[in-house]
Amino acid sequence: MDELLLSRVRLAVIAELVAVEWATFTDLQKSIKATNGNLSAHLGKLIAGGYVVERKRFVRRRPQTRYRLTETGRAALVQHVEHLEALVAAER
Amino acid sequence: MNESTARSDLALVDRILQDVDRTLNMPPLVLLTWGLFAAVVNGVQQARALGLPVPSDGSFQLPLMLFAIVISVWAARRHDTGRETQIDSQAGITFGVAFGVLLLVNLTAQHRVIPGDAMSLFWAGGMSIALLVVGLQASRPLLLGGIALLAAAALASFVPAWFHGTLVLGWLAGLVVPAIALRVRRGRG
Repeated sequence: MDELLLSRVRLAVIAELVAVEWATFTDLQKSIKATNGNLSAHLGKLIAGGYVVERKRFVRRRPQTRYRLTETGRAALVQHVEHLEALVAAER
Repeated sequence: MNESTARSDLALVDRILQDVDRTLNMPPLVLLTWGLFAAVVNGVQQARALGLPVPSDGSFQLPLMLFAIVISVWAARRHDTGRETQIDSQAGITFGVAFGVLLLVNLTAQHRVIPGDAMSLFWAGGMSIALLVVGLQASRPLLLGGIALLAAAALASFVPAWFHGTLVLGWLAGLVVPAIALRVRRGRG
């Protein structure tokens, strides 16, 4: 099991990022329905683990932070899902 | 982790992946600008074929193209929401590659081995492929636009006197009308 993906918020963030090229902090907050601080903390762990990259920029003079899944993050999700499926299958 | 938590986590991932965002966030102004640019270029050619006094190609095509590029860059920056779906990325690559290849052929081969009329057909055919590829994946207006532009490219050769006029209609139906449809749809959304 991937320790980083045992958290449901982090798992949801990774799954959300699989489906898009880039997502903003606000996009993730809307879809995952996590609080500002909570989401920031989880994103920080995913960035530190090399699963997600963060890019800060200005759009129409406003700061914007975008996130993208890395290949490491994509591979980790695939492996984690395989583990979950194996666990469910073993219990049958 | 127990079986029930594993099931719940699998269901969470499944739900998110099933609800993949396939929205195309292309700025309609970019399509509108290039559709009008191509329509004007072909319109001038048609007017020349009809014997009307028109400016030489060199005097207006380059400034008009530079103007279209400036408008496109401005529209893309203004439209940037930060979110980029996989469809947006594919659309950018498809239109970028089609435009780049056609421009390269235009700059290197036109008037050497490719007559001007054939180059106009290449532009219409090439951009209709891009519209069809993106339209089939994510946008009905672009799909219909691609069909209209392809139909115009196919029909133009059968009406030589109105060759460029047919292409003007193709560009208007292929890029300008879909741009308006996307803008109206976004306005409603």
